[in-house]
Amino acid sequence: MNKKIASVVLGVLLIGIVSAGLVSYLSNMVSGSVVVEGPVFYASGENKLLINNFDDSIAEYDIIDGDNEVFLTTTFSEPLDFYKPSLNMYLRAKVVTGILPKNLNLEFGYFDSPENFIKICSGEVSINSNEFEQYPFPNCEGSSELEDVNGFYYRITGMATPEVTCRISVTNGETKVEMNKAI
Amino acid sequence: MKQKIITIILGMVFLVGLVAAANTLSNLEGITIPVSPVIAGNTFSANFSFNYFADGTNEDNSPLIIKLNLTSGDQTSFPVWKNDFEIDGFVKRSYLFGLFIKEIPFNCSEESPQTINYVVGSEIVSPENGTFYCYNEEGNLELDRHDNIFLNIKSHPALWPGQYNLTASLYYLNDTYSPIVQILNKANFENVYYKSGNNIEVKADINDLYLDETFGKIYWNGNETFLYEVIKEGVYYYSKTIPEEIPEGNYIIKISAKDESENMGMDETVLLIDETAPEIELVEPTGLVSEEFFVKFNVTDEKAGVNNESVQVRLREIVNGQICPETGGSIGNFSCTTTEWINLELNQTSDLFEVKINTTELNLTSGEYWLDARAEDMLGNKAEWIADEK
Repeated sequence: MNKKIASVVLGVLLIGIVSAGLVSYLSNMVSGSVVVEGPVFYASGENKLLINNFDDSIAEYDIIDGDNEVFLTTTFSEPLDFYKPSLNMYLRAKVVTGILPKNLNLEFGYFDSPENFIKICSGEVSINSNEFEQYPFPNCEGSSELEDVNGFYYRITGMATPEVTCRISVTNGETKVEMNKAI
Repeated sequence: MKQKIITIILGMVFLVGLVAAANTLSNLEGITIPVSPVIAGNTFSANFSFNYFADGTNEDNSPLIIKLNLTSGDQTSFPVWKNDFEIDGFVKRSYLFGLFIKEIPFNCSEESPQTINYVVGSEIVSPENGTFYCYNEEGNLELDRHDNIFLNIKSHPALWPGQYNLTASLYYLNDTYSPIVQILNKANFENVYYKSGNNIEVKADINDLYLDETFGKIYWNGNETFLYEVIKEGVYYYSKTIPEEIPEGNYIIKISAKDESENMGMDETVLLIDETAPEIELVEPTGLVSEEFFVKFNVTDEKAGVNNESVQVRLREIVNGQICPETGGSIGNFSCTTTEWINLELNQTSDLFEVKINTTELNLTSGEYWLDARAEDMLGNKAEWIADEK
């Protein structure tokens, strides 16, 4: 009989301890979730490449024949590692001189030192207007994760066709690269 | 008997419940993250709210330490690392039906290990990656308040794109600080002697946010004697009439306090007990005396010191070999004289207690007299000197 009482009391005691702990634990916790997307790089004036926020620059750059324009982020305070990226590259451009359409090469990459530029991905877009339009080059995947990234660059290069001038514009952040993780 | 045991155990269960459920938040709402998705590298806000009711277990000014935990949707392949997020925020409280709003900022740290220094205690925690502790003592929990917590969360540009889960919970800081006990009148004990029958009073200041028990004791020869406790205007008074059972000696008076987390604090002083009477030694007279003579005694007391007003002598006539009664009167058919007690004064030069006796003024006739002397120390310990010669 005594054993029975002891068992019941022990059970009640354990239930008391556990339930008190659970009540406290559950009632004092809240949770939520957020979806994070990869950064966006915006070309801007003075060949800057801004991260996540574009400014009010309306700078334009002429690319003649095989010239190129390179936009650079500032150097990071410490090297960063990134996941294997998938890029959506965009270019706001028009043909100024020459017969339509004209191609431009888009290249996005990073540098691990001021001299060592490493390409992640590149592709060509066909500029088919004499008015500024935005040309996308989507789903350009890198080949591996990125290590020791000190900064990013976005290079737009002419195709070396003689007497062709293309003009690119950074207005409204339309010359940009969206970076996400590759699937 | 069984009923008693069950009642006691059920009481314990109830108390365990109360302790474990202390600082319970109510009506938790959130976490709301107004803008999602968020671009890696940008700062986003999150908020949640709760009530802190006076439910009998919650205590005012309890620590509000928020433990935040961030995990990624793919914690295996892309876990949250240190520095993936930087977080700060503020507690927003409204008073007078929202007429006044107070914002109390706090910082969040994921440093590991880190020491949380708080008024109730100090604790070293080692948060895992993605875990932050946020607090500011100014923002401690107030009873019957609705608190809104706003977080500013800065994400790292290299953050793995995907879903992140954020949980916020109230962190229970262990109370590691002992109550602070300070005896305020040690000077009344460290150089002052007492004797049985004297009343002692120890005055103490005791501080702890969660004080549970306070007491004072005299520790003597392996025994403990409790002191009576009275609290007046936040000051603790411990008193006792020293019982005769405590013999002469030097003992410890200890004032102790215990908080709800079993932390003990104490302060102590000494109790000096002197039950020894002064020593009285005759210096003069040593032989026959004339009409006027000096009576001089060397009276000393090592501990409490001689009460200078207490050294006295008297003369008792001896008739037919018998000493006159203390009250005077007669011995058989013969009248005899016993003088009043005569005060002796301390001679500062010789350190002797002395008095000049004029036998004429005292109406003493020639004859033999018995000399009595007595003295007390400052505590009233009495000594009598017994002459071994007339």
